[in-house]
Amino acid sequence: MLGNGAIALGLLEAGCEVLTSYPGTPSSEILPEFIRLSRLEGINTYAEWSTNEKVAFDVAYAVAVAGKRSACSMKQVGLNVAMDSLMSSAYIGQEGGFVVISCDDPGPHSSQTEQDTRLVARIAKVPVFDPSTPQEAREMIQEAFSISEAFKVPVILRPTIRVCHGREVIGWDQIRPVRVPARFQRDPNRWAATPRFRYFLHKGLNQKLKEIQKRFEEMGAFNRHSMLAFKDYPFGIISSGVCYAVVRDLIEEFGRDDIPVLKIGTPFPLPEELVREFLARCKKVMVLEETDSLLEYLIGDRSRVLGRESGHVPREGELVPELILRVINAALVELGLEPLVIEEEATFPVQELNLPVRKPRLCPGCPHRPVFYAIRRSNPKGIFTSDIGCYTLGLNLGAVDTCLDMGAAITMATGFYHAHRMDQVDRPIVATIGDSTFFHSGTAGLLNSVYNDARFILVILDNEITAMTGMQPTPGLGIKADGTKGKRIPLQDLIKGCGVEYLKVVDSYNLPELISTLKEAHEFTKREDGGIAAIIARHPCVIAYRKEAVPHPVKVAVGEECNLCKLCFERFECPAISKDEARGRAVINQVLCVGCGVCVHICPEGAIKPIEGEGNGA
Amino acid sequence: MEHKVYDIILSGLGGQGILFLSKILAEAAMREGYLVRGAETHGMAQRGGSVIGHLRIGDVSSSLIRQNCADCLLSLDEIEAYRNINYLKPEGVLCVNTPKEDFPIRQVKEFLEKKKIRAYGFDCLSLAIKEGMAQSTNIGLIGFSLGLGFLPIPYNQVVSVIQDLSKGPSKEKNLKILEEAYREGKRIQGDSN
Ligand code: SF4
Ligand code: SF4
Repeated sequence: MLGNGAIALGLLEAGCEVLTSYPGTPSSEILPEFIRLSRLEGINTYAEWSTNEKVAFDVAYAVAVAGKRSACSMKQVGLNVAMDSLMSSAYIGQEGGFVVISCDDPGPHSSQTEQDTRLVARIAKVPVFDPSTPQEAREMIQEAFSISEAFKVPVILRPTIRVCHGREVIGWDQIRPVRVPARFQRDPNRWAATPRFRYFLHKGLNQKLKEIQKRFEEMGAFNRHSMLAFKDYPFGIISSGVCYAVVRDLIEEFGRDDIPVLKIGTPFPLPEELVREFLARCKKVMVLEETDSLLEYLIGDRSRVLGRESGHVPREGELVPELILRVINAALVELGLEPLVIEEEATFPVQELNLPVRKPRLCPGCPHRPVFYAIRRSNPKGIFTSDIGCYTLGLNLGAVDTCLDMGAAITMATGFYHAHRMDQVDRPIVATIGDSTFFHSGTAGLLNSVYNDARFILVILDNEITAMTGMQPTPGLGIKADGTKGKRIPLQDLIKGCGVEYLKVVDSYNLPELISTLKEAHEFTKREDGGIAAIIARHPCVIAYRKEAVPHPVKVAVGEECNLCKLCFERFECPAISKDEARGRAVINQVLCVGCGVCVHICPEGAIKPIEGEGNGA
Repeated sequence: MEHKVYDIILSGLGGQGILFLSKILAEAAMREGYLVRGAETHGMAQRGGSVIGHLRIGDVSSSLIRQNCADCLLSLDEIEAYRNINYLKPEGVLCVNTPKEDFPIRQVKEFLEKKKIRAYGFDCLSLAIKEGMAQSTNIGLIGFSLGLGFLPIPYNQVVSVIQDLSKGPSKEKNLKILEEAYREGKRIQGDSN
């Protein structure tokens, strides 16, 4: 079972009745697994893809305020979006157990930052659990709910990508459904506390943390060490999360019982007694944790702790096993102790092979490709703000200049517009944003741009799905998380509702129309009575909807007119096209090609042609 | 205590079906009664970039394989195989989907020999295309590896997993690809003995 499946299982076993989420790697599979397992076990639960993480947080939080157990899941940068809610809810608390699952991404493999949710937990003053394996995540959820309920405080579970996307053998017995009736008790002094009361709530929260800390001291399942009684050690390791699993394997593999390990499963509030006892019996202690330093800061004793602050552990990137081996080894050597390995195995200098970098690219036939191509073609001197999704890969087509966070395509375009307008500089600006991202956080920015008379072209890349995170439905599709029908919210209505007056819908595969519409849109932004010009470039994602996306595949081939200008495989960058060394022209890989037929329109020599008689290249 | 675990690194490009490959092997190992841990790549990296997966068969805590420790490296792409070559332990096995006759490239040959790593290449893609199933190149690679006989999983177990996991008309074709690749692996193994 996938780690995210183990998390979903843990939620159901804990009697969690409601789960809300916004997709984001590595958290995306938790909600679909929650729905699948609920069905499998015949348990009545409610799960939704919310429009963004703050919305997800608030919906689930209210469920817990009404007394039921609930949870919300998201990726670490998603928690930033819900930060406002998290901070305030820590003070107010709730009645039913409430667990926030925020998945971190050391590496980062698929995120904008390497931020550490455990530090966020410290800022918000809520307890946090840090699992080392999928099975442990499942077990921690049970404790997280009981702590949350006993102390009426939100609790965070912080799995990292290796837990979420780790696979492990997991079995389970039939799950007992739990049903707590929703019973919201009016109490405005608490649920709508004014600043005067917040002081007391803050005091109460600090008191709770003290008591939770005591509970954590005794939580031997998650906080434990491997020291023998009455023995002192020259060197020990304190570790949490996935690093602990790696350390444990290393100690076992090399048979080094002489290095005691303290595992901390609940880094905040820190079980200080336990740490003090461990420190008292080890001369030096190395701290291994991901993604940033929390334990190291909380422990504080710089004279004896080896970690990021002392320069022994890298400050960025994932702590992979070979790296952990290396840093432990170096520390042992430095302290004059027996290292784990004397001589490292010889490695091959892979960099010398000059292997081509295989960066991610838009899929063959991806509907975003012609749109970026058209944007670049019609406004070569433009500023291209973009956003978070598959389409960030428009970078490769030279049509993405910025990518900050969810929704920033629109807000940054506004900033760029005003910055240049003040100086009477006229530069075309094209913002690209996906459908799901627009629903997530596009409208607030768009309202602002319209209201403050910013001028730019807004292209909504509507592929009718949240593609990058694994094909989740959007409000525009009107299908809910469990596959049942929801209310469809047409993008057109939403954009018009924001006050946008120019709106065109174009099929993303229709390159000529895209180019002419972009021209027209540009004119509109410059008109006296003009404004924001919005274009919905619509075509289904070829991966999610192959049949609908290419109902009539066009078989294409490169003719001898090809003069190897490289445009089709470098600028247009279709992965199905490459250079045929032998024949000195471009060649189509018929296995990869999906037959979208767009490349026929981009070749300046007209060398890419549909093959007669095979498919209708209309 | 002896450290008993069989470590497999899977590599290739996003979209080549590494996740499915890993699922089949993990499922087969589980049915053989082994504990299994794996680490997969989802998200942005799946869009055509380099992808790597870890699969650990045996009783361990972490899902990640250390460099120099993998028993074998199965790669759906030759370049990705070289990129990850340092995962292989001495006397490990490298098994790659490649159309090239002269695999592996000259630059790594000496290194592989010194480390006593055996390297095998087979054009799994062409085999899969022959059945009209380019996306089943991964099944070909499994069959080929099984034929070579270094994996701790029996051929029949994989057959039954594929029978259960693949659907519709593709099932028969997948089994055929598996079998042909398996025979090729056996043949090469026979030759070298
Ligand atoms: S998954 Fe869909 S939207 Fe994403 S790159 Fe591929 S075709 Fe484009
Ligand atoms: S038709 Fe052209 S652009 Fe479309 S997938 Fe095939 S090669 Fe790529």
